[in-house]
Amino acid sequence: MQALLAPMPPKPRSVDPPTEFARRFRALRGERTQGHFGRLLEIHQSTVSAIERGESTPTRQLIDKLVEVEGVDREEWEALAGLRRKLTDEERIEEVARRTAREVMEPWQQYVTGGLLTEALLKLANETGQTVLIDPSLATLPRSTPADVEKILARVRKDMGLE
Amino acid sequence: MSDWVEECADLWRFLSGGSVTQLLALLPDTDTLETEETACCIHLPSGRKLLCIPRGDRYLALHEAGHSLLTVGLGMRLAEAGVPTARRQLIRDEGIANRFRDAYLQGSGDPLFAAALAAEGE
Repeated sequence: MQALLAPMPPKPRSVDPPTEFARRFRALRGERTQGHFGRLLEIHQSTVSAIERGESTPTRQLIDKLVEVEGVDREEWEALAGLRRKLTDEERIEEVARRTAREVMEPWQQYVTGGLLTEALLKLANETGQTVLIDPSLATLPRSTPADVEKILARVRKDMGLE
Repeated sequence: MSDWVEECADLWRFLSGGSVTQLLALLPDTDTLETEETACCIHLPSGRKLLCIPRGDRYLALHEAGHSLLTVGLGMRLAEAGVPTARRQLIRDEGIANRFRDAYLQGSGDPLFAAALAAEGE
């Protein structure tokens, strides 16, 4: 009989733990009340509460408001909310460039078509029919001075047997 | 990501005793040229490489050493030919040279590395 009187164990909750978005959203609210925060973002207090529990999915409109009112980083928060659209090839390259060689973020064409050194080397290669390959340090190449170009060309011409 | 670049930097740091000057002297088939501003690695028709390095700039010297050892100027070549993937190759080449430089400095405990990282973070 004793066993029948024992309290039933609590039913396990099926709610997912708060997401990273929910945690960050809660942290962003800080000491402000859910109602106050909701008014700023033009959403109901119950929605604020639901988002913080991870029970409501953030919308793009909410991200817009967070950017506008709280000044959060749009890319970061869209990613947190799983709203980041698929990047185009071009954008993906830019992103890789940011992580690997930030210099490449400059308009890249100028490094190929511009720059005294590149032009001089291309001209020399065309004239001689020989191939000169160059690994440019992209940040410095456009700043090639005439003195540098002259010095470098002299060495290249020597290697080509032109001097 | 494979750490073949870092392994290469470790090897060359060991061979050069952590000295950038010594490293430049040891690089195979490579000459160096002191410049005012320009930094690049030119792969010459003879197969030799010419490293152009602004005077006293060890940071760029290591970057160019990375090019000398690990890349072949393919990015620019493809760009000249108008190949659509050229830009990606340029990014790869630059990334490899940067990784070599960072790994060489990091392993040597060089204060230059911390200073450079701090400058990049600004």
